[in-house]
Amino acid sequence: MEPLIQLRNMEKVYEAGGSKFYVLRRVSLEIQPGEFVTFMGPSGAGKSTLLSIIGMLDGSWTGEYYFNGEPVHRLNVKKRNELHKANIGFVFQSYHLIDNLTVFENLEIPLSYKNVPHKERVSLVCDILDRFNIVGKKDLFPNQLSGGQQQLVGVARAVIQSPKLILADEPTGNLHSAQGEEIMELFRKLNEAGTSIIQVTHSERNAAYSHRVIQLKDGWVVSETSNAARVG
Amino acid sequence: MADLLRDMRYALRVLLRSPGFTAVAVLTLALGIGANTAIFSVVNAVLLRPLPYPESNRLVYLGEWSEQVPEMSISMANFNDWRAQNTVFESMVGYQSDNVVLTGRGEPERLRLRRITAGFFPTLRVRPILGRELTPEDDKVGAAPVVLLGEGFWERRFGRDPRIVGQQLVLDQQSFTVIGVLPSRLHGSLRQMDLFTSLWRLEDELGGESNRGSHPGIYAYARMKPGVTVDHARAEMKSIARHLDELYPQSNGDDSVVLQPLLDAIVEDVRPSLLVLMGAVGFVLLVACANIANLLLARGVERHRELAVRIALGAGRWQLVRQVLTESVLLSLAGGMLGLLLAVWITAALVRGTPMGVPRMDEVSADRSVLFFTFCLSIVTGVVFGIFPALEASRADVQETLREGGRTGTAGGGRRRLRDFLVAAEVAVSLVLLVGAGLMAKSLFRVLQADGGINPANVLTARLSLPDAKYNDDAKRRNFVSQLVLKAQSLPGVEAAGYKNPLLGGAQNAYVIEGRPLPPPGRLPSADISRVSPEAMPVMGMRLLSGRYFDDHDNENTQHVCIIDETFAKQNFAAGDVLGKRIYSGGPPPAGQEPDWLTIVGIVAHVKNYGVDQPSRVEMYVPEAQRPAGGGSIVVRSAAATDPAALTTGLREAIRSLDPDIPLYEFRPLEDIVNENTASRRLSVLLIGSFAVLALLLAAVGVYGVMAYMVTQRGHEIGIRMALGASQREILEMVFRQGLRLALTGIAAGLAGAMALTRLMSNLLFHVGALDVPTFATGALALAAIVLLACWLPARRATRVDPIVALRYE
Ligand SMILES: Nc1ncnc2c1ncn2[C@@H]1O[C@H](COP(=O)(O)OP(=O)(O)OP(=O)(O)O)[C@@H](O)[C@H]1O
Ligand SMILES: [Mg+2]
Repeated sequence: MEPLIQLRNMEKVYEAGGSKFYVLRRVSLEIQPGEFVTFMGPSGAGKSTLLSIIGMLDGSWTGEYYFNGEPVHRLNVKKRNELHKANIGFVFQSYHLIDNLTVFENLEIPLSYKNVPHKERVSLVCDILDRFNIVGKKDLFPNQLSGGQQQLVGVARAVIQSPKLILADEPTGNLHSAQGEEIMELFRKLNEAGTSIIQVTHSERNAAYSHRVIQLKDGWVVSETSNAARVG
Repeated sequence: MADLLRDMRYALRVLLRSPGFTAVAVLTLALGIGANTAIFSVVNAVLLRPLPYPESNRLVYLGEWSEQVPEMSISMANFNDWRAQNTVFESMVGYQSDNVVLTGRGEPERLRLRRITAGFFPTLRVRPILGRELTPEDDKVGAAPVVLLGEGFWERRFGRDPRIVGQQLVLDQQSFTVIGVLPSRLHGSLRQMDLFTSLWRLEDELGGESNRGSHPGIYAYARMKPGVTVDHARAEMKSIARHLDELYPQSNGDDSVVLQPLLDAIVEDVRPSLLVLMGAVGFVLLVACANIANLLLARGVERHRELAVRIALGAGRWQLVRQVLTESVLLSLAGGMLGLLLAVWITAALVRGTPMGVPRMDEVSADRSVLFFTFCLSIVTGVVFGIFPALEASRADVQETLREGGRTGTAGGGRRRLRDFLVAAEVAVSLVLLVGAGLMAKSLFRVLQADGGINPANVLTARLSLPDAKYNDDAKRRNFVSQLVLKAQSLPGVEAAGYKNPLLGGAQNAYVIEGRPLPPPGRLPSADISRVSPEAMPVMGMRLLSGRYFDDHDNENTQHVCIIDETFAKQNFAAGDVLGKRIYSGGPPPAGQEPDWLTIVGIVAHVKNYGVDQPSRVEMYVPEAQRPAGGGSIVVRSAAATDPAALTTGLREAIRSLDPDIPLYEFRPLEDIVNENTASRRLSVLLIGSFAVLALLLAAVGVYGVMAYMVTQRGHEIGIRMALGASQREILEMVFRQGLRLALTGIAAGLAGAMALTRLMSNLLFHVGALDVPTFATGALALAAIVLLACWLPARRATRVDPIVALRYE
């Protein structure tokens, strides 16, 4: 089977005052469809950077990147955006819901950018509200929700367009452990239903939910460990 | 007081800490307040400041009124009866304006003269600065001719030599004794007078008691007794006039009285345009206020935490409001001071740019009331633009703000709505101004396009007057004029020359048509009648519609003829049945003798004598040779390349060779004279147009500010949206949609406002409706375009938001 993601010799450099600063060094890795992968590593290791590149928010890097066989490194911005829009959902540490939109409207955003007709949009949002058990919150604004509820909406927003891949950067970083667990359970269910997931986390407990842990340090991939227990 | 001082000190520190903001705000305010101060100093000097006479509010102006001529001069007999019978005036005096020629002291000079009745200056409570007043003994038939000098003339011509009193001046060939000099502390038209002399000495020429139907250009001033109101005075004068109508139905018909406060009479023509200007410039200031309120609101976001902390530390709501208001008033006072400097400069430019004929412009100065106005305006301005941010600040939600911590919150939806509202209001007000300016400009365009009935290109005019003493019979006058025209015609470059009296317009004369029943007395129709040499009409480009122009055969020995204009023809005759009809001009025909009938030989296009946008009357022309009179204008059409200076010299030499004592004066291209009618209109268009542009700029800056702020504020949101798959186009659309929403709200409000307000200026418009759809539509479109343009930069900035950066900061 073709890998979902294939990186070869990916490098990213920041130039500051004439000196170059490598954030990613010769990163090569493959992620298969249906995999649940965790990036770990100390602060500043380049985890978020790598996630943005995979999520196609960041286009300035060198190396090769195949998404589903498509050579991302050869695509122009527009094509890349389309690929991103069609396949990838984001979940953020600080949720990043839009403050002055209701839960319902927040969930609608990704659909509106995919030109989903209004009727279908409404039914999709209703479905997802149902699935995530937040129907009662649909008319509330983000600041009227608890952190866990906000992240629930954040995840719901990421999955509403049924992406192939969910990218989550420290999704439970701002949550109590109980709330965090709820989100991780959600991820597991989604993964079991076939969605690939890449998460960044500092928590071993969260990492345990995934199939594979990739360690980064100073921009280098330093180790890969399979969670044999989970692969079962 | 100590609190206030502390607030001020603190406010000063806050303002100095952000010099960029402070500079922009002070400059914007200076522009707004400066423009307002400048226009106000004109309004103040022209409309508000009392005339320079003690208790001038008791002075009134009087004229006669009739159905046909709503503002007619007063017949001498009526004047005497009014004066004798009224109980409301302390004194009532008459005057008549004229030009005379001073000779015997070097180059002959034409001077402005006012004939006044004795008591004229005592009525105004003005005393001569030298010599004595005009006494009743000076002011009757047969009295020795005496003259008073205006201070300006005294200074200019005699270097303020006090020995002038007692000397002789030869005016129109008659010798006058100088008895005194009047101060220049007079209102505009009087101050410009060179000479004052007796009116009643000419009683016989003015028609006297016996000729009540003659209205020889006399108007009156009166001083009301203390406690008498204008309404009361007017009512009594009207009842006196009604009584005279009953006694003298033949001459008076249904004549009545026009009575107005003197100040109103002087300024009423310019009042509407000045008030419109004042309103327009006030709008500019409103837009400026909205802009600064917006800046303050934006800054308020940064200060939110400071204010929240203050509240947490126990500051009362009112204390916060006061703190923030102190800041804004301080700002506007600084703007006001700078504005005052700006105003001095703008005012000077205005006074220089204003056409002649706007009364009292020479009295414009920055006096105490202007300073007071600017001061109050600054305070009010500060409160107006400060009140929104102040209230906003006082409403700060302490808990939320402090909990939000460092987040430059997307909080404050209320604040954003307020800023949106302010910007929409700016757009609305700018649209009102733009539409107003558009209507004025369109009117001006229509005026310039309109057919005035003459073609002034390449026509030079000059005036002359023939003194009665020397040119005392028709033959002499006729001879002089025809000689002069002949000489003018032979000058190099001259294509044709003629003579017309008066140059534009005419003396109003009642007329009667042969074979028609005589209307009741006082109801005779009248026409503007002017005397022309045969060439004058073609020289001025008047278009012959049928029949013929006058020619050399229309002289004293041939049938008396006239040419009428098309309106005369339409009003009185069936089409095609005009030529050959006969009319009598000069009141009802004398009983018992054959009237001096004038046969109509031609019809010309109507001439808009007083400007195409002014009412004009029915017109009629007679040959100068058949009805010579004392003075008029020479009109000369030359080849386009002719040097006007050479032409002027040529004409001067021509007249000197005929009579060295008669000056030609007021050499002016006919085009200038015609353009003068549009000068004040052009100035209004220029001013309102500049105000509209200024408001538009400010509004554009306001829109830009709000949109840029929105993009910054929502950079985070935009980042999220991009991470969720929004394309650049969708982000652009989002920003533009927001801008368009502002624009449309503002434009809708602006259109409604313009509809309500342009009606107030409808009497300044010409051939354009106050609700002219194209102007409204163009204004709205232009504004929408400008708003979108102002959105362009922020929108582009929005598309450049880097989602990684925008989302990173947590
Ligand atoms: N715009 C930038 N300019 C220069 N250096 C940058 C920029 N953005 C990120 N970096 C650097 O890149 C490195 C990797 O950053 P990244 O955010 O990927 O780390 P991280 O592994 O996600 O860390 P954390 O666990 O703290 O989130 C860091 O050293 C950071 O300082
Ligand atoms: Mg990170």
